[in-house]
Order: sequence, then structure tokens, then C-alpha cells
Amino acid sequence: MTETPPRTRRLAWVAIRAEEAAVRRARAAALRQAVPPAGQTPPRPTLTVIVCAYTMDRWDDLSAALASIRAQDEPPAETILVADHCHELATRAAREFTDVTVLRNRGRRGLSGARNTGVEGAHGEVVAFLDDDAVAEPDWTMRLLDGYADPDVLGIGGRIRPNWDTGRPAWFPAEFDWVIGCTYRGMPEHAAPVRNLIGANMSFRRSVLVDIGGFRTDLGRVGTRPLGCEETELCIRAAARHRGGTIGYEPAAVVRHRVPAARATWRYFRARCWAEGLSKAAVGRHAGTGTALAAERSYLASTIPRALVRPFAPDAAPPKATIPALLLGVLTTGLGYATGRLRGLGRDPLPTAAALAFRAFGLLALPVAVLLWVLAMRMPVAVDRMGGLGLLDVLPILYWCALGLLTAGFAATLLDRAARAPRYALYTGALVTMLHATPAVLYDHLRYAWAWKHVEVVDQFLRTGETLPHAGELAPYHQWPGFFAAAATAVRGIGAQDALTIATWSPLAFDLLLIGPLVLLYRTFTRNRRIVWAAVWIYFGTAWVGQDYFAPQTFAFVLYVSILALILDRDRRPLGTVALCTPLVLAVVTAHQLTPPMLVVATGALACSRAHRRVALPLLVLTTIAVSAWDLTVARPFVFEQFGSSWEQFGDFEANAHAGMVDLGSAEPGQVLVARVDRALTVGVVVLAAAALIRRPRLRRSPATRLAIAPLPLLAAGAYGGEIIFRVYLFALPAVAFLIASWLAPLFGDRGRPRPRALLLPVVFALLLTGFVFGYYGKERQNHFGDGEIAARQWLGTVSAPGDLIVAATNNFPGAYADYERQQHRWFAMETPTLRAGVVHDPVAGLTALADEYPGSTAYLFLTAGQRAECEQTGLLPAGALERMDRTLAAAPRFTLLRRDRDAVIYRIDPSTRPIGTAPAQVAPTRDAPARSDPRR
Amino acid sequence: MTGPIRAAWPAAAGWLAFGSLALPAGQPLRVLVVVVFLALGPGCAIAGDGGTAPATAVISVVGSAALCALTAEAYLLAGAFSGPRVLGTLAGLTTLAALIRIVAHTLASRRDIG
Repeated sequence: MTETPPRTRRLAWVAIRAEEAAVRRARAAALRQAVPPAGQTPPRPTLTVIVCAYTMDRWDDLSAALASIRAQDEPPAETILVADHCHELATRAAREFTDVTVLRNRGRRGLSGARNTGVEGAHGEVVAFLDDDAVAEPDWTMRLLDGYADPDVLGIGGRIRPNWDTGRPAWFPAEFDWVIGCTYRGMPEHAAPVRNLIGANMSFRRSVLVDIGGFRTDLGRVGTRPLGCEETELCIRAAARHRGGTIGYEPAAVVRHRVPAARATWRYFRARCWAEGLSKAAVGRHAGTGTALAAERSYLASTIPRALVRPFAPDAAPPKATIPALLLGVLTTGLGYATGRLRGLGRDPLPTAAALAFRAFGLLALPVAVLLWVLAMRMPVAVDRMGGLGLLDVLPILYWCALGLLTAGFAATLLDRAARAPRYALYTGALVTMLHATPAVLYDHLRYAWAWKHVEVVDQFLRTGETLPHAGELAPYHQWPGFFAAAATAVRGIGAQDALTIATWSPLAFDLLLIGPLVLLYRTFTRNRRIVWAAVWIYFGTAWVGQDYFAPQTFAFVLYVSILALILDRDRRPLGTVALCTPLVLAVVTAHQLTPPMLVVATGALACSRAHRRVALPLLVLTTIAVSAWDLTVARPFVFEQFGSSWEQFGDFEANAHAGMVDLGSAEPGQVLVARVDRALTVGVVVLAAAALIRRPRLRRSPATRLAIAPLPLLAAGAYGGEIIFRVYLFALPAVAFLIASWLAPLFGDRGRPRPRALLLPVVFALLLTGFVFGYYGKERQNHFGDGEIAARQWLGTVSAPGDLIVAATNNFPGAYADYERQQHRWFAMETPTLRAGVVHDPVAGLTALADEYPGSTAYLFLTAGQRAECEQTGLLPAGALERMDRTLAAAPRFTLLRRDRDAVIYRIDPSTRPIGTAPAQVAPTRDAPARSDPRR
Repeated sequence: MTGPIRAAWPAAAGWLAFGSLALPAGQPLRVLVVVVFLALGPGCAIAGDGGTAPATAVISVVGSAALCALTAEAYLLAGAFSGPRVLGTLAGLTTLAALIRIVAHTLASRRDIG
């Protein structure tokens, strides 16, 4: 709303001010004893007209707006079109409007950011703003520039007439034309100073805009409410900064603003009145209610009462039908304002001591939490005494204090409107470090047997310099070698012995690296940075499946998220995005088996939407062709071999989904609890995402929903060694985390001081994190290896010769695949149930039978603490089976004890004296091995 | 006119990394130069300056990883893998990308002036 101070109303104000200025100049000249030449006028300022547009849907309107600028009696020196994060618009405009400078909004998405971009790129001394759906009268620029004859004038705006598509509704009062962004009845009929201008037709001295830092980008929109008034706030700020400066209204400078049919409805009328009330509350917080509401008081005291009486006058122009709209409009705006005040819209983040303390907590919790974590890491932690709950048994209380404080601090930061991206990034970086650097700091050796296996694969590539055609169990690594090839390059490049150090720190490195693509992805879903960072936090707080270690899956997953972020980022030319994504897609296709199908379904889901089709469709085609080509050439042996089992599992959703679940009947009690918490967390995450979709119908149209659902069909494709359910969870999680964060967004509040229900935020985060630490740290007894195990394996390497057979319960020990191409092995607890039961029932007979299958090779039985932990925790073997086996073998005839310590025991199985039949070659572990509790591979 | 200069940095880093292979294994300078190039160089060369800063940073890192993996596995599959070969090829590819960008930038500048 714009209102004129009453005393100056109806004065030809601009003319008077210009005369006064001339008199002042003359006096000043006289004082300098220099008479100015008669008729001298101040030089005419140069003008830049800025039009901001954000959609192709209004292309015709935009063309008309630019045509009206071309037709000006006094053409502007420059016309700038700012495309607000719409690549297609920018490209087409640059092609078709050769006389217009086309800029892309590099700042925050939205009208304010676009206007600020325009001001930065403008060269004129005065910048005028015209809406993309408005057309200017031919004398528009001339009338505006006339106003700048007075040097004290900061800005000039003009009249905005509605241009109704469907005619003015009878009920729509002219006093409420501000609802449709137009000049309304009650505004001055002649040139006059005003408090603020209306965005569709306004101009400012560029120096003034630059001086006050442009438009506020945080006022445009709060939540889903379309808040405006950024120009009101700017005008108030400009006037406060430039004492004595004035802002003028020149009704002769006319533009016509299109009013589409959708805006001539009661629904729009009510929504805009409500939003105007909220906006006024926000502006009132920034500018003070005295200034912000002076015009509104006058409007309510004078304009509205007259409007209510006017229909009853004898020569009534407005119909009586306008009266309900007048009353409803005033009431709705008032209610919106009251609500905005109650919610504290736009409140200064530091109004009270309590809020100050709250903000200080958000700032200080981070360094204190990091300090506590560092202290916890310096404490002695008995990692070799982990029990059924893994690291949860031994981590010091200080660690949990640090994690709790960090969570509370992050929640407080989300509620603090003043917090900026760097603080969120530091919090998230600290969370990732605390969660994923802790094992690396506490353990002396690389954790997790699969990571050891992958280090050994890199070693193999470094040794041989090539992929092997018959790599047995390691065939997938030789047929999808991308990740190992990159790791081998890094190892050779830095001149290290092996990839152990890289592997030790890779969970931390990969997770820190993932923050970037996740933020990029979420920024394409929403402009609200609090939702973005909350989603990142939720992702890391729920990604318990542990696919972040030194593995091809981790590598491919980071690329997968990056590709999705690039597809959805429409700030780039489609062809450019496809070109950028091509090496990423090829790297995914050649590095991992499962990620390419996931990429196919995800790009397919995105290609369904017209907005992303131009990028997603070519990439879908590229991925499909690349996968087919790779599977039919390099990966053909493995793919053909696996085809049979995959075909049997195809379509069996339920069996595939349950294949990787731990058997709660036979597992250790601690692991049963861990598995239950894992499942509860997974179900909780799914329920929260479903609730988000039910409660926020808008989210259903978001690409995030499609990306969350896209991986589900892969459940039908096969069990993937019991892994598929966890992988589907992993691939859906980035989008699911966003859905949850969007649902939680109302808890963030709109001000620095939290409302009571905001307490739910740290509670939800803490619950999710609790689930995470159970899932991620709960199995660490199996994943941690002590000095004894490493030393025993090295010793075994020195006493055994290449080609000797290593027999172990499972492959859960470091060095299980060392010198793979030369060694032979059998993991008896992972073989068929019959063989397993036979070995447990009669270890001597079972193990000698195994060894006798390899005549000519010496066999070694190698049992370690890690194997014992895995067998006990997952129920692979009955409790105490390995100890009983050890006692039995100690006295058995063909078993010679070579080494025994706390962590490992080694027997040599002496060759049989009686001849046996031809032994089979190395037998690969069969597929009916018992279910693993551990969803990692 | 920062475009061509900026485009040349990753290529220079690539050849520096290639040269640093002559230093003793594990030497801190060698580790630093090689890690910085492998983590950022090739991706930075293909990222261009079209996007926002976070997008460019992400493309630099993941693009480098992808190009490194593709180059190295090509050598592995050909049975000719070695560290200097992969690093040299990556430095060459980075240089090629930089040259293309410099030429494109120069042509665009000339067109603007013309």
C-alpha cells in the first residue's frame, strides 16, 4: 500500500521541489559570486530499465513489455532482462531480443535476487523496474526522469493501471487494487512524496540502491506464503539512510499491468490480503511499526470509510457488491498482520536476553562439542573389549555428550534465522567427522574385512597391472574395475606401499565429499536453506547401512548423487549438463554393478517430467546403452554366470527383501537388539517420509518424491547377495531425507526464538541418531581387528607357500584375499549347511575332508577373534563352536598347532597318508550360505 | 579476462603432478601435488565457469574422480597400467580441455568485440 502524507496531498509536488532546488542552487551560486547562466537545468540522468522474468509461460507478456520500452518517446540508454534461474528463457531472450542485455540471476532465486542482479549489471544513473507482465505508456521513461530534476529525490514511481483479462469483477473494490499490484483508489491523484513505491512501476537512483545494499532477499517468501513488500522495506531503508531524501509518486508515468483471470477470484483476493498482513508484520519488524504502518493508518482512517459510504451516494459509481470485499479484505489483512506479529515474522533475532542466549548456544555448541570429541578421542578406549553392542559398549560418556551437544546446537541453529550456510556446513562437517572419523582414530588398523579385501584387490592390480579373465570370487572387481583403478593410481601417484592409509580415512573423506552433491541436490528442490541443511543432517543421521567405506559402491554412490543434482540444476544448458554428466555416467557404469540400474530408474523417473526431460532423457539413453555395452563385453562372463540365479529371484519381492535380514532366532542377544533398532530406524524413516507426503500434498509433485520411489522396482531384480533391501534404502535415502526435512520445516519457526513444539526437532534428530549409532557402531566387534590377528596373518604368510590352502570359518579377517591369484581358500562356515553342520559335528573329519580335496597343497586352519565374533554375533555357527573345535583339534592326529594367542590360532593340517581321488579346483562359496547380518559389500 | 588464465591452472597442476613422480615415494610435496591434481584438476578443467560456485566445486571433485577412474581402467583393461602413464594421460587430457576452453573463450571475446 502506498499513501500520501495528507498535508502535501494534491500539490504539484515534483514541480515545487524542482523549483526549490533551483532556488537553492541559485543562492549557492550567488554566494560563490558566480551567476549561473540563465535557463541552466541539471543534466538529464541516464536510464536503465530492468525487467525481471522467471518463466517461459509469460513469453508473450514479456515481449509486449520489451516492445513498449522500445516505443518510448525518450528511449532508455539500456534495457536489461534478468532471467531468474530459467536457462531456457535466458537462451531464447538472448537470441530474440538483440537490443536487450540478458543477465542470469546469479544470486538467490526470486524477484529480489533478480532485481539485485539487474542493478549490479546496470550502467544508467537511474534504474527503472517494469514487471514482465506490464506495458509502459510511451511517455513513461520521460515522466519518470522528469522527477529526478531534484537531486534530493531518491526514487520515482508511477501509476499502474489494471489490464483485466476478463474484466473487473463487480465485487472488486478499486481501493483494493493493490491486491493485483496496481495503483489503488486513495493514492494521490497528482505528483506527491510517498512512503513507498509499487514494484511494477518504480525507479531509483542506482547509487542509492548500491549504497543500501539492494533488496532484501529474505523478505520475498516465508514458507509457502507469498510474502512481498520488499520494495516497501527498501524504500523505508533508503529514506532512513538518506536523511532529507524523498521518494516521489508521479501518476503521469503510467504502466498497464496484466491481471489474469486467476487473480480476479475471491480465493486470490483472500490469499493476497492475508499475505499482505503477514508482510506488513515482517516489514514492521525491520523498519519499526511507526514508519511501516503510517500509510496503513491513514488508509484505514480515511480511504476505507469513504469506500464504504460511496456506494450509497446518489451518483454511486462503485456498486454495493464491493462492500463485502471491502470488509473481508480489511479483516483478512488485519488477521494476517496479527498472525504475523504473533509469529514474530521479521523479528530481529536478538530482541531479548533469552533469544540472545539461545543464539549464543547455537554458536558455541559447535566448538564445545568438537572440543569434547577431541578430548574423548584422547581418552583410553578399550576397543579390544567390545561386547555384543560393539563400540556402544566402550565409547566414553564424553563422546555421547559431544554428539548430544552437537545435535542440540544444530537444532538451535535451524531455529536461528540469522544462521548462514557456513555455520550449517561446519555443523554438518563436525557431525560427519564425529561419526565417521571415530573408528579411524580409535583403531590401530583398518576396520572391516571388506575394506581389507578391497585394499587387497588394489594390491593385486598394482602387482599385475591388468585385469584377470578368471578371477574367481573377485571376478566382479576385475570386470568393474573403475574404483580400484582410481585407487591404484592414487597409491602409485603418492608412492605409498598400499592403499591401507587411504582406506582407513575413506569413510570420512567420502562422507565429507558427499555433503557437496547433497546440498546441490537439495538446493534444486527448495530455496529454503534450513530445509536443505536439515535434509543433509537427516541423511547422515540415518545412513546406517555403512556403504561409505573403501568400496566401489561408495564411489559410485557419490557420482550417482552428483549426476542427479546436475540433472535437476536447470541453471545450465541442457547439452552442457549432458556433456558434463557423460564421464560421470561412464565411470558409474564401469565401476559398479548395481548403481547403473539405479541410475537408469532414477533418470527414467526424472525423464517423466517435462521440466527435466531435456537432460534426463539423453542421460537415460546414454546410461542404458553404456550398461548394455559393458555387460555384453567386459562384464559378460560374470553377467552370464549370474543370469541364472538372478532370473530365479526375479520378481520375488518378499524373498529378495528378506534375504539379507539377520536371523533373530540364532544371533547373539546384543545383535538382536542392534538388528531390531536398525529395523525400527528404517521403518521410522519410511513412516516419516510417508507422513510428509500425506501431510504436505505439494511434496508429491516434487522430483524428490519420484527419486524416493524410483529405486523400489530394483527389489524385484534379485537379492544381490542379500543386500538389495539395504541398497534400495541407501539409494532412496537422499530424497527421503529431503521429504522428512520438508515436513519438519514448520518446526523451524520464523524467528530467532523457538516455540515449544520446536523441541520436537532435537528429539527427532536424537532419535534418528540413536538408531544410526546402533546400526553403524553396533557390529564393530566383528569389524575391529587387533594387533594379534594382523601379526598372525603375517606370520602365516611367512610359513606358508604360494598355492597352500587356507581354511577358515569365515573371510572376516585381514588378509583373507592377500596374494589372491596364488592362494587357495575355503570358508567352511559360509558354505552349504550340510558341510557346515558336518564340520561343527566332527571338526577332525570335516576339516581333513576339506584339506584332502587339495592334494599336493599344505592346508592351514586359521581361526581368529574376528571370525569368532562374526560367527557368534550372526548365529552362523552355534555359540562356542569354534572354541570346542579348537579343543578337539589340539589332540587330533593330523593337526599340528603352529601358533596360538588371544586373537588367533593356526594349525597345519598334515596331508593324508592314503591316496584319494582327483580333487576339484577351488570351490566358490555357494549361494545358500546363511544370511549375513551385515549389509555391506 | 580471467577465463584463459583460470583454465590453464589445472593443466599446469597436472604436469607438476606428473613431474613430481620423480620425487622420492611418500615425499610430502609429491603427496600434496598429486592429491590436489587427482582430486580437482581434470574436473576443474571440464567444469567451466557456467555454474554457481558450489556446482563448480562438486563437478571439479567428482569429474576428477570419474576421469581418473576411466583413464586408469582403460590402461588396466589393456594390461598396461602404471602410475606415470595414467597421470601423464590425465595431465594431457586436462591440457586439452584447457586449450579448448581458451580457444572458445578467445573466439567468444572476438565475436563480442566485432
